[in-house]
Amino acid sequence: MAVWIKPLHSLFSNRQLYWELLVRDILTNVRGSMLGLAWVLITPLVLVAIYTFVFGVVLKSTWIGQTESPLEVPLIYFLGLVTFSFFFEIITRSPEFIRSNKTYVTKIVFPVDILAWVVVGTSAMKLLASIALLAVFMVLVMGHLPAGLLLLPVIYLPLLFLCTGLAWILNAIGTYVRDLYQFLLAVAPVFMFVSPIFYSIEQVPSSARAVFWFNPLTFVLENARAVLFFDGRIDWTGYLTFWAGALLVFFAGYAFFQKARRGFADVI
Amino acid sequence: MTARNAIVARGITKTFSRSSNQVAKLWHVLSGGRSRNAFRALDGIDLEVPFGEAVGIIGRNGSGKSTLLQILYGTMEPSAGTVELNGRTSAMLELGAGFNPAFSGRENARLSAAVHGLAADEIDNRMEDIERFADIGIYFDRPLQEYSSGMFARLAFAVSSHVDASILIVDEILGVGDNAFQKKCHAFMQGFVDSGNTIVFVSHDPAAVMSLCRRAVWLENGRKAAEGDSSQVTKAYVDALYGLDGSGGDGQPAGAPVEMPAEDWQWQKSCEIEVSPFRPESPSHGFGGCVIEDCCFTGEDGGRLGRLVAGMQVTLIIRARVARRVDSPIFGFMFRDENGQNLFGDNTYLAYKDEPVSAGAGTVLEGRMQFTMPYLPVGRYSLAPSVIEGTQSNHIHLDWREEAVFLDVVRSPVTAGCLGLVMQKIEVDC
Repeated sequence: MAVWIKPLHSLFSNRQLYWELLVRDILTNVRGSMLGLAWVLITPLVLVAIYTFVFGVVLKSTWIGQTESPLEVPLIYFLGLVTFSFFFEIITRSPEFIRSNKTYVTKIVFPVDILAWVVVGTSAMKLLASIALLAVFMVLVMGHLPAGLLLLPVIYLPLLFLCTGLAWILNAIGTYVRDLYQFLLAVAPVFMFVSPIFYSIEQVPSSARAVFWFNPLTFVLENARAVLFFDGRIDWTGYLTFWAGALLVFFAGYAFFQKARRGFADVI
Repeated sequence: MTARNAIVARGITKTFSRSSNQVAKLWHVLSGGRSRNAFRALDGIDLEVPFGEAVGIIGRNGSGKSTLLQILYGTMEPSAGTVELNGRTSAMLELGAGFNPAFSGRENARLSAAVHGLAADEIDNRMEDIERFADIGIYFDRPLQEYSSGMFARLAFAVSSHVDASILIVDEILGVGDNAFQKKCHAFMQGFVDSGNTIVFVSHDPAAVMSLCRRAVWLENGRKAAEGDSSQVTKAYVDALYGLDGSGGDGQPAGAPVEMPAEDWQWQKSCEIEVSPFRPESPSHGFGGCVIEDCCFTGEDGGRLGRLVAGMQVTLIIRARVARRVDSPIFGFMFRDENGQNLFGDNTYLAYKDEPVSAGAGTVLEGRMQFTMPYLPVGRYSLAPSVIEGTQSNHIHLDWREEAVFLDVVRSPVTAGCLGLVMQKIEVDC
């Protein structure tokens, strides 16, 4: 089997199991709570409320005056924040994910590589719910759905692959090196402020801008914002570069994981 | 070519790195290199199991039984050697592996079946059988956290036995549940073998191995100590445990000959307990200043015991190296069952309350407590020794070891409750 098809083939041939695990993973956190799945929507709402207050009311906002209605500004933050929490959740859950599912490693012959897809899938479902919420707000504020909404899946798809590759790498290292989780928790806030969530890449001094493009969220945030709120277009050259980088991480991550997983049972 | 054997394993060797450096372990796997500081858990094991045969694997704790099972099943990679399995394999290495207590029995059964590779329609077809076999009534649709441990075991076994395997790998899981459940499990395994399937069965219980398997393998320190007819192999194993053939195997004196309790009471069966060696790697907590280096049982002659019988006088010895001056040290222990429930424990405080000893840095302290070993039901128990400083009400923990010694009750007359009662006399008047 060609090397490049292997990671997808594993997911496809275990799709039944994957689906069961994904549903289980999504429900696990809310099972037993009174509001249940509603928490998937409540959490981002609270998040956007507090950030809107701080960055929209207390501090002077970046985008005031650029949008048709001032009420769109909180929605711009909302988009940025849910995108960041998608990424944040994946990188902080991945290092511990194999250990917290250790029976799948030590007690059952199991396609461990699909656990990374589970982490990404759960976060993707939450992102989807948040974007549906965003669409509802946009209709309320603008009176219509922006056509750019249709382009969002195109923009986010490479990020999905990139995050899966990253999840494999973090899965593998985190299973051996327990400090990784703590390290990522420590640097995550830093990462949040070096992503263009509360500001636009144009505000970054041009000397530092090149570095920003190495942040995988930069491309997604800038382009999603442009097509949704400013009638912009996707930067197609950048898009192809982004895909190339995403696929590189994806396959490298898979290869690394496959190598490291052979020792999982010895260390957990 | 048609295979004659369901399982063919050749030269299985497994080494574990002793290094505690996490990065080094990762590097070790990635580079595929050999670790110099390695511990050899299995050493060149060959095993052939023909179709339709049940083979039993016996050996004391730490002899490599579980490692071998994990390698045969495929959850662990051998350092050297090959394994060939001819048939769909299912393992019961742990009852209810991967079950989630927040979900119902049915939901857990679904996921578990999917994990074992069943397709959606196969699972739906089998759900009724699983429900019937588990036989837990309306609880099948209740979350697992409402289950008793017996119901949990029933559900788990029902699921594992309905995934259509032709090779079954069973670790010591059948010590749980009530008698009726254990009989059901054994009946199932017997039927499984009789219909031409294959089982690898690990147990501490020589009787269980003999009743199910015609052939047995005895592992000692990662090597085959004996292989052949199960009744002969299990007899040799039991003799060695009792120290009758004089060879202890792992460098430690094997259990000295065990005296049966003087007045053997009405039960026909004695309560036999296997004791693991002290586990230096057992989880430790406390403020330090003192490190527990050994914890063992000795008999009346002072010899270390690998096997106890309930009712005998034993001395629990806890030995600790003192790193700084310790005033009024107290030795204590807690004896727990499989669920972590405290069964009994005691300490040396009261005996030394009025004339406390003190120990200087570098010395070795030894605490000894002699008691009568109580009767316990079959199962795995653990012993947590501790050294504390101060008084019973005001003290600090210097070293406290969880699961420093495992005790396996392999045979017991006790069937009801957590402890057996030493009944002296029973009379009915009318």
